[in-house]
Amino acid sequence: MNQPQHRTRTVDDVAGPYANFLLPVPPVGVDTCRVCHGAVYDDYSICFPCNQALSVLGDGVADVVSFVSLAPGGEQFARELYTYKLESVPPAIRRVRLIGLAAVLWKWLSIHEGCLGRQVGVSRFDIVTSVPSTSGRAIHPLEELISGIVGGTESRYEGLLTIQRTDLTQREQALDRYVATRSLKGTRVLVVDDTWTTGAHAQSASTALKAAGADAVAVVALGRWFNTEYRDNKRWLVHKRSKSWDWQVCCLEP
Amino acid sequence: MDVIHLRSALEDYSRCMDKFREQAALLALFRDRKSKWGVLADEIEACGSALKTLESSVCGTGQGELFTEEPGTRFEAELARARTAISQWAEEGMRLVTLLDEDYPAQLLTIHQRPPFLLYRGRLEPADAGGVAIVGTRKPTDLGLARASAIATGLAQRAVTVVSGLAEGIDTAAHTAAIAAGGRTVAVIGTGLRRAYPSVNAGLQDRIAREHLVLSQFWPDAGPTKTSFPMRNAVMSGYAAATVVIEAAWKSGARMQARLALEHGRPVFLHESLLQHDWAREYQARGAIVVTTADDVLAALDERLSPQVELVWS
Repeated sequence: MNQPQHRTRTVDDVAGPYANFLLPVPPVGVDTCRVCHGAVYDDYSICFPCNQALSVLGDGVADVVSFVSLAPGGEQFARELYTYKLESVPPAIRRVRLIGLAAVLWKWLSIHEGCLGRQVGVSRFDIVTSVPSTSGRAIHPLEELISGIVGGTESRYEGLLTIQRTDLTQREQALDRYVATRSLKGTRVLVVDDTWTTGAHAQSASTALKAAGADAVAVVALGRWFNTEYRDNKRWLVHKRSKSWDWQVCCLEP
Repeated sequence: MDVIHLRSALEDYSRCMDKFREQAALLALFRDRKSKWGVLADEIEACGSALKTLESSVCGTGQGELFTEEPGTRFEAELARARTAISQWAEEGMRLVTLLDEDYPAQLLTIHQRPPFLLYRGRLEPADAGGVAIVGTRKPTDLGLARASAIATGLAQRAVTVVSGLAEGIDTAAHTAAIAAGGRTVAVIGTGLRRAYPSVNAGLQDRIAREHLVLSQFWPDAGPTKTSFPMRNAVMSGYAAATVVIEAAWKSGARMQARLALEHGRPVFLHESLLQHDWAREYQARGAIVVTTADDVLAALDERLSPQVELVWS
């Protein structure tokens, strides 16, 4: 029994416990942004960062955006998405968390990729890619997750983007933040990201993909992060939290 | 001493001084703070330096309302005060580790309630990340005590650290059995390190401090409060790889720790005898695993904590 064993675990088995802290993403509505599903105030239908993205990036923004779960700052899912790639956490501990997030994404995509596709008139995306990171790591853990662990995405994965602007802040979207490495004429691309904060990265990525000719771009982020200290966000969350987690429920097709 | 050795000794010294200043700054930031520790901890973590965070808070770009005196003086005074406290604690055998330090328990970093600093007596061991928390009622039955001892013994014999809360009843049985089996045990306590609660466990606390590890997230003189035990339970769940509940009623810290561990995504084990309770059956439906022996716990953990696992659809 001291032999190293080849172990397998099923997606359902590994993803199951996450239901204890995943939070359903609310559908678009009077108090919920029509792009990022975050809180909006004063009768706006779109939040400030999403509106900013529209005005800077125009048609470059993603055709559809979805999320696996809300990830309020200071709660477990936000912590999970921060620490699965934190270098001060030992690799063996990080690896277990990476596999956990992979199971969550795999299970979620198996149910909801179709919902994303329907918004742009396809049943399946041709290419799955990620947003390049500035961390300087050879392979970002998210890239490892999509290209090597998640069965639904590994065969379709391709790194399509490189960073072109290094002078921008985390929150700045730009037409030339990223650039595609090849022509994408006629392709439908799914961009996977870990945390959506303002959407600056994902929306700039979408813009670069469309500039290279992509017909359609969808974005899915594992966590829709938001600041519970901002305005009435705490109350908004209490209200949205009243719905319990259900893998089948979709924020795009409620 | 030749030049190269002297240089590296000086570098070590300066690294130590930097660490000491960082620790002092972190304590200064939390010293009078009553709420939103998590928000401040996030800020310090994102900035990567408590000194810089303190600087900006003293100089008015951060939460300036903390300080009213002349910034430079106040900044140095705050640091000096914290450094005096750290030296005083060290003289009493209490050591400090902050979330910016390399030796902060890494697994604890992965839960959202990770304390910005910990005080401890004894020795930090990275291998505790594979440890298992054993918790249960303060008023156990004989059978409950026997079950706690048996599982703690089995874990200790397999070199798995037994983590508990040093309360009466199940906690005491778990610590004691682990020690008797020659294993390692860690007490995560709900008071400051200068206190012992319950006082009947003061001797056990001393022994664990001398030979193993006693951890506290509270200021040294902090007494037990209504909120300190739930906070402690979250840290215990975060410090260990998993939690085993032996015997516990609905209204108990042990049941609460099971809930917290589920919400951390950590494996939760329930002794089979708990299934008489509605809450235990509900937790089982939420993913808690029913066990009777240490081997059951180890087998399930082995699978769940293995970094080599291959994910398959079915």
